[in-house]
Amino acid sequence: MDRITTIQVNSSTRDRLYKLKFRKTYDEYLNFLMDMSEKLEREGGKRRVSPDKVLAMSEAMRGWVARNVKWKNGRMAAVDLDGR
Amino acid sequence: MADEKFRVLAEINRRSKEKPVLVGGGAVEFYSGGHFVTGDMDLCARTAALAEVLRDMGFRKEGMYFIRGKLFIHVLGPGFKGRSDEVAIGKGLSIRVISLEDLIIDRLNSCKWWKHAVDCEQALYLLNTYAEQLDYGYLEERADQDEVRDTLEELKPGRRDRTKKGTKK
Repeated sequence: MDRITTIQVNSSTRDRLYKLKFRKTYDEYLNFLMDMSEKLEREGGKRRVSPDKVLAMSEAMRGWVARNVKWKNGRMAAVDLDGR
Repeated sequence: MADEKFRVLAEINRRSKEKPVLVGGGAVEFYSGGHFVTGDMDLCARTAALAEVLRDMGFRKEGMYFIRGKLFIHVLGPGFKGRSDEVAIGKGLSIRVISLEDLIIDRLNSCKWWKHAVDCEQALYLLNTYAEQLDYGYLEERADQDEVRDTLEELKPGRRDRTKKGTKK
């Protein structure tokens, strides 16, 4: 019986998906995960949050949200995608 | 492409009797204006009903995905619990998306229990970007349910003074 991949797609589709999602083929991504896992283990499983970068992105987005998102009763009601 | 994804989702939404809910990385991409990009879109809906809509729109099923061009859709089934919002994205189009609060709880779970760094970053990003709009009462209630209140407190900016609405106690 033919074995299918763990995520149930053929290898070319799997690589397409991984390239879209992670800019790496499936095998490259697995290697990346293994490297990352070893690195995290070395670092004692610490989170690798880069708050400065995240907060800078967030700051930029807040301005965009203020200009392009409409709220109704405290809930997001509309987004102007063309404003992006 | 990013916005095109959401326009396709809006068309799926328009054709569906039971509106699918965008969750996961796709929802982060939506709320982050594309700062965080995902390769696939996770939708919660009854699989059979949504499959029919997707096939009518030219998606083909391959493994767990429905694929059309660069768009990969994963239908998770109907088990969505929590809040979702119908958000208009222009020209009569709208998508139903998991609420910001539930999405943050999802990321916090992954951050705390799975130690996924990117999910910690996404939670931090969403908490900061939408600090003025979040319903903190609901957010904290959900954080208590999922036992991620400590992680929420760690990442939450400015906190109480930022918001008046929905604040507990």
